[in-house]
Amino acid sequence: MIKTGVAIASDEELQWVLAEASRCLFCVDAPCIGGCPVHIDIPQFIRLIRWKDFKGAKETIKIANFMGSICGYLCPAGELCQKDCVLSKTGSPISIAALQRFACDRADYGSEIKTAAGTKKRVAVVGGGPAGLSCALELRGFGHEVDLFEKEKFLAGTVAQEIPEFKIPQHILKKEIGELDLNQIRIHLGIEVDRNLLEREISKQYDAIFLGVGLSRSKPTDLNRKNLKNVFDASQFLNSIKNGAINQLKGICITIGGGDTAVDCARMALRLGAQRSILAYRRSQKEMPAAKAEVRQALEEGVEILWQVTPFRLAGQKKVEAIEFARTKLVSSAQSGRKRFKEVAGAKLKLPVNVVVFALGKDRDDGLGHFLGDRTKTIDLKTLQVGKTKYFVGGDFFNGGETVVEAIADGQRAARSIDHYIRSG
Amino acid sequence: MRVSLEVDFAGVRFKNPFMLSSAPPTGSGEMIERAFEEGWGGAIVKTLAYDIRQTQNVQPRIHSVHQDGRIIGFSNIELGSPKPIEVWLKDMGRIKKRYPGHVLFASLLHTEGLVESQWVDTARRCEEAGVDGLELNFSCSHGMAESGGGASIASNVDLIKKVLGWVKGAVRIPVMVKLPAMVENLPYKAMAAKESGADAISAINTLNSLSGVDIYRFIPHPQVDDKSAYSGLSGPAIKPVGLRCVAQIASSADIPISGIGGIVNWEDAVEYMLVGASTVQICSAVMQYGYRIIKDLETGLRHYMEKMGFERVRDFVGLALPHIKKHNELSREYRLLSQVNEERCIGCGLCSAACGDSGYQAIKMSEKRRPLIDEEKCDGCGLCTQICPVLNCLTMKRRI
Repeated sequence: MIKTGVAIASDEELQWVLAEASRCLFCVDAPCIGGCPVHIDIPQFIRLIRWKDFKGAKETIKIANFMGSICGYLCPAGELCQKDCVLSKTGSPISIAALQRFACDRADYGSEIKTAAGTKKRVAVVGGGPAGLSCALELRGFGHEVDLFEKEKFLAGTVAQEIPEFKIPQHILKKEIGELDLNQIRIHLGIEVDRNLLEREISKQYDAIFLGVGLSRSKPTDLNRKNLKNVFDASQFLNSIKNGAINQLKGICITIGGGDTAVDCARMALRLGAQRSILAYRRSQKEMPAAKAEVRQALEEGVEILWQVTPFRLAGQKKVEAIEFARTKLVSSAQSGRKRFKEVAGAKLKLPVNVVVFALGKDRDDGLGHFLGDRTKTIDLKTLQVGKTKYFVGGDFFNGGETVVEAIADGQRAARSIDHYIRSG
Repeated sequence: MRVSLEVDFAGVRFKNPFMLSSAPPTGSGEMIERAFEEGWGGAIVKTLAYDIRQTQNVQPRIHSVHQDGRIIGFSNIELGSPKPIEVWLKDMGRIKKRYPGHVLFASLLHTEGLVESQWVDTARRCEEAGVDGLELNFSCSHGMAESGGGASIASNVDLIKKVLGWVKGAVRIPVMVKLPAMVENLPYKAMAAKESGADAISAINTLNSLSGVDIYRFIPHPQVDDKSAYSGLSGPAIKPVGLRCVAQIASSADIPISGIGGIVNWEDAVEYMLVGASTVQICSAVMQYGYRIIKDLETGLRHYMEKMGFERVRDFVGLALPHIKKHNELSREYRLLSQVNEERCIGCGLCSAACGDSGYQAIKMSEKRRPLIDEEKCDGCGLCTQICPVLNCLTMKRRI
């Protein structure tokens, strides 16, 4: 059964919300705060919900996380804040993400950047996704002049482009972006900053530069040599769904991969009408990097998962018609804790298929990726500064693709480092 | 072991000690019959009105006090029964015929001013109808009390004696006096009632209260056409007050007591019995859950008695009383120290906040989020053991 995944915000749910909020023990130095990458004062906002000051709850959330609503929808809370809830030891943890969604959906709130005395220093933020926006808002608060460059015509990056509607409804995203105080930041939409622009102009005009451009190049597959139709990479697939280019699927859809994006693709395929949606992953369930709750929901909705298979051939005339997998076995790896996989000779599986989606992860794009190049090794993991340069990084571009909340945390951290760098330089 | 829940109370035999108090659950004959079918040992009819023009009810008249969505008390502004005495007399006669093994008391009297003939007349007619006893409502804290009845009678020993004298002179059935909590020198009032011939005392009634205020419209609850009145608070919130009153009465007057106030379950009932009640009366819990709670009240009490080796309720009535002393008689040599069971602790830190901000700054949290108790600083107050959300985690131990 496919669930809409839309949040709790109705009066019917109010009773549940108040009861859930009343379970919170209001721990001293609560461990849940430590589990949240942006350290939202969780017990405080839950207590404000409990006493029906929903606006106060939302303020508490938004002060720490300008995308508090979006993160309420997208955070793998079971692996972050909720993991550390002390109530897990005597029963079930508080449903923190649901309460956060509720507060953000329910209350009206408009942020206003309280700006420190102006420094007349200029910072360029490249990328208008969670990391870039987060960094820009913080920097403005510190009193710096901020220019933000975004290659698309809209903000929010991956959240707007790829994350499916069933996980983050468009109106929630719009509302959250609408609540931001963006007037104090100069935002340049539709400007793609390539290596040339960065090195020749931006680096000369600005005192510091934050690079939070995300990952834009899908990891390639060499299986579609014949250029068969109906074979996509995950970005293409999700983006085409979001912009309406794909609005219906028929037959069998097979997604290759084991991350959150792969799970999104598989769940989306069912929603678009695929008769079967199969997720094929080369390792076992234990090694699968996707959030456990997401995988569970996918299975509940009817997504089928093939564990320990790796594709080696696509067949078809013009369109893809079949896919062949080899079975894999897992072998311990001396270097990393994660098990490696090997193909099992002779163990083959051929499946008819109508749509194939490769969700193998993404890389930095060639331009800014090459700009960073070997300098990646010089990034200070605490300050996110690239060597001793005026460049700072964060978000997926830096960490290779983590959660939205971690990108926001990166943006905040980089902003603090940039402030320190500018003021001490 | 054979356990019996039967109770002899002021000469009346009860099959179990659980009665419905004079309140909404005893609002009609039909209701009381259903309650007896469910197993209630007795019922006290909703206070009779001498003139039902005086018991015209307002709407709404019941409000509740909540905490986190759970009811901890009701507060009501309901008056005596709006049914005429004639109807009740017929109903009471029928109930006693159909349910001779269940105890039925009438409750007197909702009226304005104290008129001897009204009390005598009503008492006699009830006795003729066949009720097992009378309860004199000297305790209603709202409405009636504002017009000279209810709790205003119990505020004056002379009035207690006078009205009780009228009724005792008129009937032979047992007469129980229902006393309120908020009255000056309750033991003295109880003794006065006994001296004037009361066969039993019931306590307590609701506490005069203001249920709450609508903070957006500035109108207290319950709201009757945008106005309100002081109301009678009942339910779990008032149980500690009821226990205190029953204990005080039991310690001062040798008289059967029917305990009332916030009894929800068998443990509450046992507590009332341990401080001197030999029957108990219940209303609010029935208002919330219905007559069917008699099942868990009865089996819980039975199993408690089996476990404790009590054959009869009287075996344990009043057993807590010798343990209640004047404060200045309590030991000052008995010194305690808070201790933590680290295996049970979940690391919430509430004890450190409580001790830090309302105690003696004796509890700090360790790196691993476990309380570290400073034995020098701990003053044995016990607050930490009360606010700890985990069973048997923080306890007090004797200092050696």
